[in-house]
Amino acid sequence: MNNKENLIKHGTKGRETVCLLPVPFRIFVQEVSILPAKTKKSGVKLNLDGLTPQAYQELAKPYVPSRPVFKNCIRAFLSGGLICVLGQGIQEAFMAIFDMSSREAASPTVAILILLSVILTSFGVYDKLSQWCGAGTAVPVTGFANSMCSAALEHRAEGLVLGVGGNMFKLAGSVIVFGVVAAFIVGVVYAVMGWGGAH
Amino acid sequence: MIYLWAFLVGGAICVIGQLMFDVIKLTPAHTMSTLVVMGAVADAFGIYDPLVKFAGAGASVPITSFGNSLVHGALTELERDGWVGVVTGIFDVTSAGISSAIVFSFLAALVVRPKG
Repeated sequence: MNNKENLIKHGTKGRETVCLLPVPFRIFVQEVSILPAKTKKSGVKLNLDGLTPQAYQELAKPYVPSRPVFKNCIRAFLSGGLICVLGQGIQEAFMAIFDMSSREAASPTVAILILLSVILTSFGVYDKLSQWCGAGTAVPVTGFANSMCSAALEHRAEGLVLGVGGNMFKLAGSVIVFGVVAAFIVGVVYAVMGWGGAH
Repeated sequence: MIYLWAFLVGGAICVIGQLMFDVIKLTPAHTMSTLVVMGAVADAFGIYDPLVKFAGAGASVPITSFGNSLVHGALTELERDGWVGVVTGIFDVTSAGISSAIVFSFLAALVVRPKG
């Protein structure tokens, strides 16, 4: 078998596997499968290194489904608003039953919401909800708890220390890091400027 | 009435998050981090507290209040203890949220088998 036949065979092989790939890759493979016939080297050389991320973005752009932004926003608004109303209800209950001020009641309210979120995550309900709600379930503090709990459950098989302990903050960690750094900067600015801390 | 404002303000903050997902195409982690920093900056300018007074849980339940609480703790202890308060006070207010999230998640991991 001479070189050319070999190439053609590889080329058709490339084309047969084409249907398995997502659309953006498909075009690319078609292009690639033509390439070797023009090159002098033997064998199929996938020119993947030549494709910069920017070029890939350009190539993939027409095939990325457009997101229904308006619908998603309505869903996020309704679900996020409802979670906040639930939080308000819990807070009012704490204020009424334990005679707390609204500031005192804030911490137990957050704890209850987190407990609810962890329970729902454990039963796999929260993830289903979040598919419908989008940011509506991610932005409230329940989403923070969900990210920690799902990371803990996901890595349970790797053991308690390395799995659960090591991975719990995998997603939530960035929130804490950026929050703390921002708070530190604000604190230093206030200290340097000599402003009082109380608002 | 506070329930209505909680609904509207909380929903609006979630819409901001959704727009970051869909329009700017940030990942959830980037979105959350941005919102927390926004909350911290808002508290630095003293505009988050009035929002909490006005909208109750609508402002205190979204993750932005986490940034607000971090700054709040730092500034309160800065006032009370001086310089060192900036470091010691950061987790003062948010401790309830973080501790309960850790404890509950850990307990859940002990009890629940993941469903794949």
